[in-house]
Amino acid sequence: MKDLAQHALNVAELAGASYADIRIINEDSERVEVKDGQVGSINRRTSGGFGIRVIANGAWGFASSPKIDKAEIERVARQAVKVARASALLKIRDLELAPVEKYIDKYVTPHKKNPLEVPIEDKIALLLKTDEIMRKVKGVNITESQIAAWVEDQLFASTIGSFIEQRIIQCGGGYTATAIRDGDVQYRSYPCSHDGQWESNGYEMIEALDFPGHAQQAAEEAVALLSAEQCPSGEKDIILEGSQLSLQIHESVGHPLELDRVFGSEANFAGTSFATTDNLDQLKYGSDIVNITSDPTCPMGLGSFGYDDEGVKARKHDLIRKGLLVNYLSSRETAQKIGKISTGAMRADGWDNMPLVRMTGINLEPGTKSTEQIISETDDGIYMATNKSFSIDDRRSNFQFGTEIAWEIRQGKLGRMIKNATYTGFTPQFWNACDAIAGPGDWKIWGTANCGKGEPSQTARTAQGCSPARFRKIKVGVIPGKK
Amino acid sequence: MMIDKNQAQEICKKALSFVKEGQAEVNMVQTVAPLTRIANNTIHQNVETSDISLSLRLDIDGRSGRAATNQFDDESLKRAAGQATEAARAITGQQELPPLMGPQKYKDIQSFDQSTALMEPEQRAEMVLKAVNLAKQEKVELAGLVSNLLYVNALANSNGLFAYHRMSQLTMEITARSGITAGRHAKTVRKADQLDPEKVASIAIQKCLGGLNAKSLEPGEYTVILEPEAVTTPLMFLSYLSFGAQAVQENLSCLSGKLGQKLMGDNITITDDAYHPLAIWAEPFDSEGMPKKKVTLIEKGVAKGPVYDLKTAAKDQTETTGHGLPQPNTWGPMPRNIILEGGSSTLEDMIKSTQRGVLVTRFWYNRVVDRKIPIITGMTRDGTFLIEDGKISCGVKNMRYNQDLVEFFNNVETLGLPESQENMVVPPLKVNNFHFTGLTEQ
Repeated sequence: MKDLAQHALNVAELAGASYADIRIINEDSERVEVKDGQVGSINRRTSGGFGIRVIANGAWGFASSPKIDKAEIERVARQAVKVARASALLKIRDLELAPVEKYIDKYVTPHKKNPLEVPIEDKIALLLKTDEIMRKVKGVNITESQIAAWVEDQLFASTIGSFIEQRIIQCGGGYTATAIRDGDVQYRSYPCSHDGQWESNGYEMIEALDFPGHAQQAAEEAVALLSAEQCPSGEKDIILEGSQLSLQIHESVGHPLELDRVFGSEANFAGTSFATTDNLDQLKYGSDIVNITSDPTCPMGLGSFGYDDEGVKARKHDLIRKGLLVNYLSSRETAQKIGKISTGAMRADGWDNMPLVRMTGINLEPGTKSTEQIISETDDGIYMATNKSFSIDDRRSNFQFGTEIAWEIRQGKLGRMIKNATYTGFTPQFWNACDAIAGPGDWKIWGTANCGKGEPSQTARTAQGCSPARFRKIKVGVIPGKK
Repeated sequence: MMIDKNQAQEICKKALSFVKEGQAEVNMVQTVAPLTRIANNTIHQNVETSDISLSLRLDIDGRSGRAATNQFDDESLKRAAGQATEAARAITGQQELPPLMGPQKYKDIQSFDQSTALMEPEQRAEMVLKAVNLAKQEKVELAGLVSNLLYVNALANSNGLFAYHRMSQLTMEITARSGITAGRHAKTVRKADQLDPEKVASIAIQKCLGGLNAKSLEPGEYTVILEPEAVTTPLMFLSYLSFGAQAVQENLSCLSGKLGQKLMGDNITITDDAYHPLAIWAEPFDSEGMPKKKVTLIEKGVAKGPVYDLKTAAKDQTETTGHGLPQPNTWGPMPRNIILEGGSSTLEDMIKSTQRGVLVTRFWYNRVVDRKIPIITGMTRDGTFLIEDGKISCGVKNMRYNQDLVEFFNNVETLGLPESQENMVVPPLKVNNFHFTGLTEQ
């Protein structure tokens, strides 16, 4: 493969490329689903191919193919240069890239058990056992659970001289109980919604989640929600549980700090950002206790790797320090525009897509108090857990989130259960209202397995680490007819 | 190189030859998706991607496994067959599996144009160049894309079924920007010569310029006039949440227990019809190889029925309508070509007849808030205008909505002339009492 990769780079240079890189990838994946006591589906997939990215005449070109042989690599390398020349018809200036070091290295996701080597029978048995526990709870109508895994082998080579081999191992899963009564539909998921928790890790993470051990509680809470009070409307102090806060970070910190979208690359699709570059080192994004990093080296993070998809070594970077915006998620091209080095955030969905600036591990550093202590210091609030709906505008300013479950907080104690909890706000105002973050004991890195961006549409697997946090005077209960 | 019918049949036959037990189905899909992407009046991403994937379903003793690969050498196909066998063998208990059907007859849908499918990067760049030249004259910046797509779908099984269909389309999307003000227009056509890049760009640019110095509106109930792209949002959500038979059977659909009852306004008739002449992205068969039928979902406001696959049809003792997804799955059948019957009004007529209202180009980041009612939330984007005294008076800042969709389709006052929106056909709508619940800017 290394010879083929080198050949591709040579052909691209001979065709006129001033820079070229190639990623040769094979990804094996598997998904096992159980629904209502039966195996719903088992899907296994292998996808292999290569993508060649070039700069020619000062503009980008990209071409790819699933057929990995010498002749095809030559054809695709020349096609990439042809595409770049077409791009150059509309260039304003020649592309410039921030510098990157040359690396010859190998990286493998730390793991104990390759999830694709664990027998399917074991996964089915675990899901059926979990499913059975949920279905025994009276009032539960639908039960669904799943386990999925991806193992990607990648060779990256560039005309800078880098040859980087990586094996990224990711897996996860979860389940949901659904209760329906009189037109009301309520869900409870474990360990979180959107198919569960995902990590760059081995199958040991599935075992550690103890699916059966939490199934009864999830099912009982789904049924209990049918009789719960509706979310009140007004301003409340809210405490967000980890997985909900993880999505809040993803949507209102991760995306707005993607430097390609700040520069308008996503203006037609994913949108732009309120956090324009004139805000760098100026914008008070959050309160003084808000410290957020990009850290693709974070153990178990779904967005962790050794090198990004343009050969930049994974490193931790500050994004927000003591509430101040200090950097963006960047690529070599975008970092150069603000006079910085790349934060190593270029990632592509498979072999057939050009890398984009994506989230890695976007982590809110922990505070000092325990979650219990923060609750005990809240007089009139709502504790909200597990995302149910999420929506944020194209500049990442205004958001509305809903959670599966919530509890009223009165005089420092959790009270009655609340259903259809929603909250809304504006990004910097919201993060400046953060006055308490739970400590390292409650900190966890959560995975988002389906982050969409780009045209053609790409899916990225990202991570956000956090512990529960409190936000003062947030507008809650915003759905008409759900008051 | 496009895979023709004979080649597809050979590939499917070869894949099936590696199956040593049980019954099998193979689905081969070829996608060639070149795309030229612009931002800030320059091409910033230009890609040529293509793939051919093959997915093998294998049923053994009432249990089913599926394995997919994009490698077509003997070893890879043998491995896929082995993985599917291993998966099927691993299943304990029974699955409710729909049968693999025998040969079927399909109607012809002409949805392929060779010159569109095989456009070169230079042709896409020329289209972009025309658009950008207009933008420079008006001192706005364009983002957007031009993409020509080729899609080949072939399905075969060990009972002799074989289906083949190919589609192509050309899409141009343009978002014109000036500061934080944006205007958008998008067009998808079957044949490249049906698309005028300067017209697409011109509409987007005029929307952008017309939206400058936008005002804030107080949240509340408004009469809205929705352009066809905006109409696809409530219609798409209503369709996938409520119009599949499994959702109805599971009591998750707003149609559950209400078939035959009046749910929406008299002026609402919704069908699923792959054969509608304006449906651009349409196939004559579903993922089970069953011919697609035209299905009336809502007729003059009355709930008529969902779309079915083989499994859900058996449960309701009826016939499939040809809306199955790859089996087995936990999703159930889905509508694929939603047609909302229109009227004779134009967008201009609707604006003239409106004392005070909001014109919406499209909605963005739409998500489900309540599964069954259903309620969705989202925001306006890329061209939102205030209408006063029958005229567009100014641009308005984007607003968030939370909207009950059944209520929405009870509040439709006027329907316009339907047009293609890729796999859907929808008219512009004038709708009363639309719920804007917040602003997107402080």
